[in-house]
Amino acid sequence: MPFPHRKGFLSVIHRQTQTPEYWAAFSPNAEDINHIYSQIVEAGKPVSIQELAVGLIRWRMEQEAATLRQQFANDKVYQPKQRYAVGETLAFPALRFARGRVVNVRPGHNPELGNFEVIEVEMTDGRRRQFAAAFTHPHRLNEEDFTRLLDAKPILSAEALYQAYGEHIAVALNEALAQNAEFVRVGDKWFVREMMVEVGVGYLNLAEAALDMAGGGPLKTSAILHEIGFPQNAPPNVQQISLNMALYADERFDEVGYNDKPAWFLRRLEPPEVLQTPALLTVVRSRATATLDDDLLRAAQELDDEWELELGEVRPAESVEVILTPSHRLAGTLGWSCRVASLLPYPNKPRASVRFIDAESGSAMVVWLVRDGRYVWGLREWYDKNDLPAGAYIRLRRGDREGTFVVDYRRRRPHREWVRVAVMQNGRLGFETAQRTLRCEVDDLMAVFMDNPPAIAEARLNRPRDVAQAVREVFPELVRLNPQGNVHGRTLYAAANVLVRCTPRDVFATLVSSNAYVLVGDNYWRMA
Amino acid sequence: MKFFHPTESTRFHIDFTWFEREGKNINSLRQLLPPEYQEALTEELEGWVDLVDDQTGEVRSIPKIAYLVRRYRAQDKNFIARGMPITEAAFRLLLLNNNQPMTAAEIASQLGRRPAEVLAQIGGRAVYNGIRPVADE
Repeated sequence: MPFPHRKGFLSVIHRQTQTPEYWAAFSPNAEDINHIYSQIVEAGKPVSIQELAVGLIRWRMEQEAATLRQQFANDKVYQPKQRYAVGETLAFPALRFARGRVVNVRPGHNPELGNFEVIEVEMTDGRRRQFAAAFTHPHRLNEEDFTRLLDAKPILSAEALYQAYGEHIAVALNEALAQNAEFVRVGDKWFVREMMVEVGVGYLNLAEAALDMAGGGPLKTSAILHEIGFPQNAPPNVQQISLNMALYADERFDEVGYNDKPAWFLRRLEPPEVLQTPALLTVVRSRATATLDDDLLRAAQELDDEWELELGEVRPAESVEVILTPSHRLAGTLGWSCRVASLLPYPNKPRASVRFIDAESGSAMVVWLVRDGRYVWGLREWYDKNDLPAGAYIRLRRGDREGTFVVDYRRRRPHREWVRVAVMQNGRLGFETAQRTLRCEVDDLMAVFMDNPPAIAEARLNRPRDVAQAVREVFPELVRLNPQGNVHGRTLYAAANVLVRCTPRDVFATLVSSNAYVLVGDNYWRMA
Repeated sequence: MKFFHPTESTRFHIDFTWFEREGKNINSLRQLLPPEYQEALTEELEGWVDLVDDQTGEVRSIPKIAYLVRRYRAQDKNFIARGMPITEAAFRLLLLNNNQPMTAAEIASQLGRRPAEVLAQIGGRAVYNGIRPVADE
């Protein structure tokens, strides 16, 4: 009968810094704070909490390695072939380098093994164990060079440890630094107060004037420094950090840079639409509680509505194409949907401004990314100039310069076509088929022309509807336009969004939960 | 003593001191030797033999008779017979394994039994031939 397989050989040194318990109990001490201070001074610029935490983890790992090295310089590493005397302290490599003191030595008894000794060892946990000594037979512990283990890389790097336990470490560090007057927070980074230069209120007033002259902004810190004639007696990065710090602390200024380089805007000149979500974009949730089947869920997901977005699922892209929906056409915005977020990831600030470059003319426009409202604001003029209806394919790609994005649409030769037109009459929405000139390609199921967008927007604001009301209002109108009497789910979603900002999932849930509508297949619906 | 509830991953071994505590003669294991060796056995059976772990260098001492049983039965395919009671089969398996601790699952795997079946037999309050959970785990 074969013998059971033995468990793997534990030839690793037990390091506390590799354990979750160690980091769960982490609380920065004075030495840690000193180390962080040095880390920032060495960097010469503000450092993010993540970088500080990774640096601190690495430092603690190095400290532990140094302690272990010192410990093993004093202790012998146990090898069966060696002889040991009572009183000697040993480290046992196969027991995760547990340590113990020899308390007894006796001859070994085994007729097959000949002469050897048995040492009795009192381990540091108080237990007594016996080990072979003066053992000349082949044994793997006699072959290994254990000193190399001290220099071996730990299983988890500082970065990996941060990934695993960083959240708690970052919170503890942020708290400790916030309570320490030697450190200052610059945005989401930390800097040391001693390195900063003072920025008087006069310079802040000049900064306000400079931004005023620039239409409110955005201006990079370096540009503001240049405009206000800041004294050059400190290194440029320290000047920038000091001014940034002062601007952060002053309510007049808003940091709206999209990347990690701050850019500033005068808060009082910021468009109201980026400070508060416009009513046209306020999502109305459905009260319907129907469960959607997989096909409808997939159909909802394909529509790429920004309120269907799960931030964790965004994958980076270099260019994207999205369909303009009626609510965004009316508001002059674009949904910050999953596809858009793959090019323009959500930043950790409420709003940021970037430059969109018109692919045809090359002209730049400042647009705003509004995180909580999940939209990109500032495209109304561009939509109007290019006669883009709801349903148009909008293209975005990264620009040549950092922080710029090229905006375009699927162009085509202008041609008159029969299209779906939304008409508002006496506060009621109607749809008709009419001829209009198309300069762009559109999604046939989602295209909706609006001849008088302000009238629709006004009617919408004057009489708010819920999702069920919107669906009830548009469904018969759309059925009327189709000889088969069917309406596609995408068309219903687009049409309902002329009246109310709603998500595809809510539109489909409304359809499923009502007896008034019947699914006839392929996401086509008819009246019951 | 408070009863400890072992699981399938609890390691078991033979606690040879159990024989003395229970007033049983460890040398009764002599019957496990092949008959020809039983008759020919002239050497002193008292005392212990030190076994050296090939991974850790740790020494475990087992009674000399247990050592002899392993020595003479290691190659005997019939030593653990199919149909033998689980407790006896587990005892013999641990003897052949130099009394290196084994989990109930490992024992079951070697005996071709279900772990729950093995655990029910060796993990209860009644101790058979000193088979007990390893004390320091």
